[in-house]
Amino acid sequence: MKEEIVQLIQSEVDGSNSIQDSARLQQLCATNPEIQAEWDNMSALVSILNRIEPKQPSIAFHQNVMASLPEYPFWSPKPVAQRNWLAFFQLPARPVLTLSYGFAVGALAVFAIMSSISPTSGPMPIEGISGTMAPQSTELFTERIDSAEGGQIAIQATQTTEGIRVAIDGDVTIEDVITVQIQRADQITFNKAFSIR
Amino acid sequence: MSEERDQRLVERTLSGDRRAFGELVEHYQVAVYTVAFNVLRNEKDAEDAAQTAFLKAFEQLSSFNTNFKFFSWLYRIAINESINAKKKKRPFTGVEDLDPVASEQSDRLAQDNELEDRVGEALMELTPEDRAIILLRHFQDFSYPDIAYIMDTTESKVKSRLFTARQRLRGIFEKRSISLQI
Repeated sequence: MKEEIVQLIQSEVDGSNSIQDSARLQQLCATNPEIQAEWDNMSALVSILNRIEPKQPSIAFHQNVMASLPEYPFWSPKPVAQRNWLAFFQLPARPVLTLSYGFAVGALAVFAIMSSISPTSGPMPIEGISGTMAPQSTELFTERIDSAEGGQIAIQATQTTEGIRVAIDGDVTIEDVITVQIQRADQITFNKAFSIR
Repeated sequence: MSEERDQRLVERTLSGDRRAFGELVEHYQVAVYTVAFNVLRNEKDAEDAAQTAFLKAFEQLSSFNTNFKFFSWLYRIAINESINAKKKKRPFTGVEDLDPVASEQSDRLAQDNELEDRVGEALMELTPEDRAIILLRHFQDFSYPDIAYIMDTTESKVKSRLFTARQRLRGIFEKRSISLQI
């Protein structure tokens, strides 16, 4: 049988013949019993081969595969054990991280500037203070004591949304620093070791 | 599973999500194991080869060319692994390795299983490469270009080898008195 005819049959069983080639093969089969027999045998063989059934692996197969996978394939970023702090500035530019680095550096700079100009950075002079000086704010918790030693004085500590506010009200001069101890957010005690003259 | 779905799972795996690779294993384990089994005709060897294929796919995933289909790429690994495993094993020695004469079971299922076994044994007389081409074409219904990619050869060679393999198989069927009429 001609090679061309065999190829025609092969292509037909694989479904890769053109309409014209299929029609030609059909005509050849109708007129030539040998070609018809070859076609019958080949299509029967393909029919058998197409009946190959899928095989099921063992139940543990999936689990075994997953357990065999390495923790870190080479393409996965591995944790760095130690890095010199200068390496921070030597990192290659990564689009995702660049903004984070910039934000962090900016935040540090703002913090340093604000710390240096803060009016509360040193001991606060308290001589001659009288009256209530604290600004108005939302009060969350208040503790108040009153003393009549050497004159009327009232100390009020208030936890506000802005922090702890201590207000002293009296008609005396305070020489010593009054220490405020905060045990918990809702528990404020005072060191009453102040003198009044 | 669509190619797009495969692609998303590959990307998730590459970003460190192992569960995504687990989904790929879940979907393709039967197909990969079936090909490995039909090349090796031994359950344990087939399972080892299929497992190694998935492991290599995981390790080499970053080199996967997304211009190709994931399952074609996976099959390429699985076929190579199965053929290599087969070559390391003792080659087929002939009729004495075959099962005894077929029993006279009347139900169709038993006949199908018997026929499948005999066809499987006949396939073992082909070279592993020819067997792989037959399996890819008839079990997975891969196209010529897909088979060419998987087998790392040209489309015309696939056609030629497929033709040769089928002709050999017909000769083996005749020798073993396997009827083509079903």
